[in-house]
Amino acid sequence: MTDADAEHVKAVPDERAEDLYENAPCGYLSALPGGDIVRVNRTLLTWTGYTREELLGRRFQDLLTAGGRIYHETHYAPLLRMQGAVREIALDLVRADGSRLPVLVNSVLRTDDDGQPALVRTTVFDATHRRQYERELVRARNRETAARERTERLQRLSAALAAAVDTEQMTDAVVGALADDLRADEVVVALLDAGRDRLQTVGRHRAGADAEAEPATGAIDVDASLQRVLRGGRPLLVANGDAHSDVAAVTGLSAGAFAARALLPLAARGEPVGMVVVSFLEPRAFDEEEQLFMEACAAQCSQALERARLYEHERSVAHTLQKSLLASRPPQDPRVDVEACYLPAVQSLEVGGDWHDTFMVDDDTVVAVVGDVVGRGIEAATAMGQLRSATRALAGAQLGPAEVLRHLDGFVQHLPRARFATAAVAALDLRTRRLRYACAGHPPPLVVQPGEPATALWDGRSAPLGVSRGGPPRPHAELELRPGARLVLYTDGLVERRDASLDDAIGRLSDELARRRAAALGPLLSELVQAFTGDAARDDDVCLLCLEYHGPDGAARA
Amino acid sequence: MDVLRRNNVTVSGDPAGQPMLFAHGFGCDQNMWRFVAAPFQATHRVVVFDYVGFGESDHAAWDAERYASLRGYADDVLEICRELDLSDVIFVGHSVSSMIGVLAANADPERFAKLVLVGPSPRYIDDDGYVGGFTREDITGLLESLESNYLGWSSTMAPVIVGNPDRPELGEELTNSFCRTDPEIAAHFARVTFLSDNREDLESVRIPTLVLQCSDDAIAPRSVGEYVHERVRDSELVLMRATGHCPNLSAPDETIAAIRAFVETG
Repeated sequence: MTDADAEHVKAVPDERAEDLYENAPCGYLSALPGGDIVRVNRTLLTWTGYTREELLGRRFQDLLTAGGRIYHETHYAPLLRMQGAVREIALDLVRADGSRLPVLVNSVLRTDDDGQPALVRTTVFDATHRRQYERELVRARNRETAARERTERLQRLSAALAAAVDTEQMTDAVVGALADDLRADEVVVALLDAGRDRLQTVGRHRAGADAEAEPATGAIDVDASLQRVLRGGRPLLVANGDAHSDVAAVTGLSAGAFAARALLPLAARGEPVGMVVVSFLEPRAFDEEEQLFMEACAAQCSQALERARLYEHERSVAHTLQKSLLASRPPQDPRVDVEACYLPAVQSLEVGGDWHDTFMVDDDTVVAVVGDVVGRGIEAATAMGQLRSATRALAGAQLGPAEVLRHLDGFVQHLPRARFATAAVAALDLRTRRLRYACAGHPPPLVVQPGEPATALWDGRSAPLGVSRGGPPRPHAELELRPGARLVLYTDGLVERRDASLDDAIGRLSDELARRRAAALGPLLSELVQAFTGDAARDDDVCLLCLEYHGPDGAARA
Repeated sequence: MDVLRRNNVTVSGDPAGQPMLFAHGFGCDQNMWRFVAAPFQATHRVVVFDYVGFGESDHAAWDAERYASLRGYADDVLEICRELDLSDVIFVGHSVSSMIGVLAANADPERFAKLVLVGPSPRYIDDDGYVGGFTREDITGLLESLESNYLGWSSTMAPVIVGNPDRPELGEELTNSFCRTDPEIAAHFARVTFLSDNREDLESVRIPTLVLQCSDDAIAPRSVGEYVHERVRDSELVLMRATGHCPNLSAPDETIAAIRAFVETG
């Protein structure tokens, strides 16, 4: 030090090395490579509230939070060893009173003459405000990300609800959206039963391995406090482990050591219909965005459920109606056997307008009909029923197939729903073996004569019902069925595929029929349906009828 | 998909030697093995690599679903073995890689000869009489630590550079350049690692296993090392003088000696 420097130092009070160290505007700490603190300055003691004696001999990492200790072991210490220095590591020191001091830490590693680690020098900067600011940045970023994801999730939920065909699919969509967004450990959807005094679980999602294991069961009586939640219209949030014995009953729907819950009432047209219970293992609060999201999900779910309920009601009525319309006893005659089946579309809520029918019109003539009314739902099913009855009545009046169709053209003028329906009508004289048939816009019947390949009957064709009124008379065609022959009528749901032409599909059906000529009728039908529609969810109804002729004396009966 | 590129696999040592596969733990990359792997090059075929998302691995290959559990990481280990056609492998895993090695060896026992588990823990969180050393809140705290640190790092992290140990003058520029990783991947791996529970997998291990336990390890306490030793049938427990969780860095000589003694027996 020159004299001039010495003079200068003297002029500034207390600026000695010792004081520079002890009262520096940052914490100083020296530690052995294993972390044992060997020196610490007064600033750090003041910040942390420890005495020098308390810190000497303790390890630096012992001053950190548990999370920080892991970070120290997995990042800080390896980096220091490999680089010889680390900079700006964010850690929390735990003060003597247990509170936390956010700090930024820089360290350098001093090595001995052999290059082995000897000492770690660390400076510690109080980062309380900086950390708050950073946390705010992180929070803002997280909020923004969450808001964006939330919007996308609601859009996806909305699309999924629109595509859902039943309560189960709807429940799955809602449950999935809530579980994803809120990282819920369990989401349960429960609906009020008809008496409105019991909640029955209809869907459940549980995070983790046992998600699939548990079936969605469980029901509870609605007590007064639940009634208040149901009628309140707003989510009830049970956060941070509040006991909330008020709604203790929900544990019957959602058992488990859950520390926080959100109860979302579902309502339709102002009336409660059910409740979603979102549960969390850890205590948590719900911010405003989360509450809004839950309300939005509940509102969408309510609407969708109401829609589903109406659909399902209509569907069940329509199915009952359709079943009753199709129920009839097949003809009991030793010369003929008939099997028919009807399979509703898998992907649609509503019944379709397909039908089949077989009946004797006199002692020797059996008539088989398969038809298809355009459209779906109760109205289509009703029109089908009327058309079916009319066909039966007309055929019963000894009109041939072509004449039956011609009269139906007139009939559907008064039944607009039945216009453009298609039908195949076949009449077989069991005594003479003569088969007459006519098709109104319908796929061709197939016939399998003994010892021959299957043939599509492309004759006797004309337009769908109600189109050609006043036009040329409807044609029919004839052929002779040999004993043992089979006649197959079906609707387009069996053969119409986006990925194959109708001709190809009919060709394939012919092959399948010929290949199974030895099969009994019942198994034959189910095998055919399986072969043609088994690989994909049916998007149309399928009607299939097969008639087997045993000859004028029934001798070909197996 | 090129597995070797994906996992930044580096092969060195004696091509005819018995393979030793060194797997890094949570927080860093293959650099963790720089002091320990090298001495084995004279006698063994030495393979080191980075898990996807860490070090110089192909970060684009990261897939939340595949790596949703340690099983996905074990699959990476098995793919590396298949790609290099390794057999009779001595797997050396640090920290969480111990359990990844256990899973890999249980899935394909034919391929592995021995396991060396450095600081293993099959379960970090205390659980019904079992002492793992941490509570769930501690792990949440760790995730917060990660988040606040990556915020500080993000601007300098952009080009991932690997430090050159032979040129210490680069040290200044390359602050915290090791162990760089995508913050989201690191947080995800932390969650998978510290919430994992592989206690049941220990009993399926059928190959000779060395458990290297440090004194005073804040992440895998001694009782946990003893637990692993008790559950793995054919295992040997070596208590090291080294402190901390990374003896491969803090006490390479002691670590090398312990591994060598185990590798050379039987």
